[in-house]
Amino acid sequence: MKPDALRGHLDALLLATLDGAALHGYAIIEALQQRSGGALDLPTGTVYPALRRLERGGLVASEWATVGGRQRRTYRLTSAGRKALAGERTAWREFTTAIDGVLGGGPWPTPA
Amino acid sequence: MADTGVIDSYLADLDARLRGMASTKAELLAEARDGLVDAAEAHEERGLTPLDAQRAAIEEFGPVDEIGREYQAELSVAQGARLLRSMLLALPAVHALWELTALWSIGAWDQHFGTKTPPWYLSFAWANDRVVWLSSAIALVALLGCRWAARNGVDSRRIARMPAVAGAVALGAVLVVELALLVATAVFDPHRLNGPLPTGLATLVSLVVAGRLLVLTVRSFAYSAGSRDERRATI
Repeated sequence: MKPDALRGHLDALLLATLDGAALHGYAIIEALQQRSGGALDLPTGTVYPALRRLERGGLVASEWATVGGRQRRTYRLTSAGRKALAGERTAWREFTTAIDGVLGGGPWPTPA
Repeated sequence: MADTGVIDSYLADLDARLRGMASTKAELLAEARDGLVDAAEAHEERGLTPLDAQRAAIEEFGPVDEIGREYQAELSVAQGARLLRSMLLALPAVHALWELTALWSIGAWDQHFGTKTPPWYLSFAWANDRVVWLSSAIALVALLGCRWAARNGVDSRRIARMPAVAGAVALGAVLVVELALLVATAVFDPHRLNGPLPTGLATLVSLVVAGRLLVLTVRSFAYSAGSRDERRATI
């Protein structure tokens, strides 16, 4: 999947990855790639500034923690982040339902 | 992973492109290094040589100029937010300090200096009393704007300059109105410029704080200008 197509959804994808788990940057990237079967292919370096932006917006919080013997910045969802994620999921379902109704239904019936 | 020379070279290149608060920059680079080392270790476990593993990690991370633009935008907004927070705290605090000092050491101005304040001068004093709140409101709105943009997926590169502009407008308004009051005071009664020592010290504190805010504003413009130039170069 092209990086440009992903950019508009990156925030929602990052929030979804953190749903129920506190993860450090590389673990978030691994989770994104695993859950998408490797289809989400964007420069991994763009994830870190995006996480900072989400933190600035109060949607995630971070703290330095020792993971695997190393000090790493670990991110978790805030209550505002959980609310934003729920909103993103609802909007995505509505969007895919609408698009699927047009694209996924096969050819239009021809008028008699 | 013992040898991280390729990763370190990439990070040195990234470091050289970034301008911003040292602590924020160091944290961003430390986190990037962690991510790159993690990725390289994962590639090594899949059978790549250490050198190839580092190269693969860097390739996945992204071209340094593209990633540099994203990092620079974050540094610009972080600097701008620091400027706006400083203004929100410092401007009302300095204003309150000066007013309380004047109230304590001067009291009734006409009585203290033995001259009657002309009606036209009161407009300058009125503006001076209120501009600090107007400027604080500008800083607050801009700060909330940054937060709204961060929550709504607005690319940091698009708003990198906004906090600097808001800070310059807010600080500029305070400085212009205070300068106008100073000139007005000199016009009708220069004697009032030589107030008692406590107000002189309060004025000195005001000037130091204004100077510091000016430095932060100039830095905000410098960092955001770097981000804009790099952005323009890619269009």
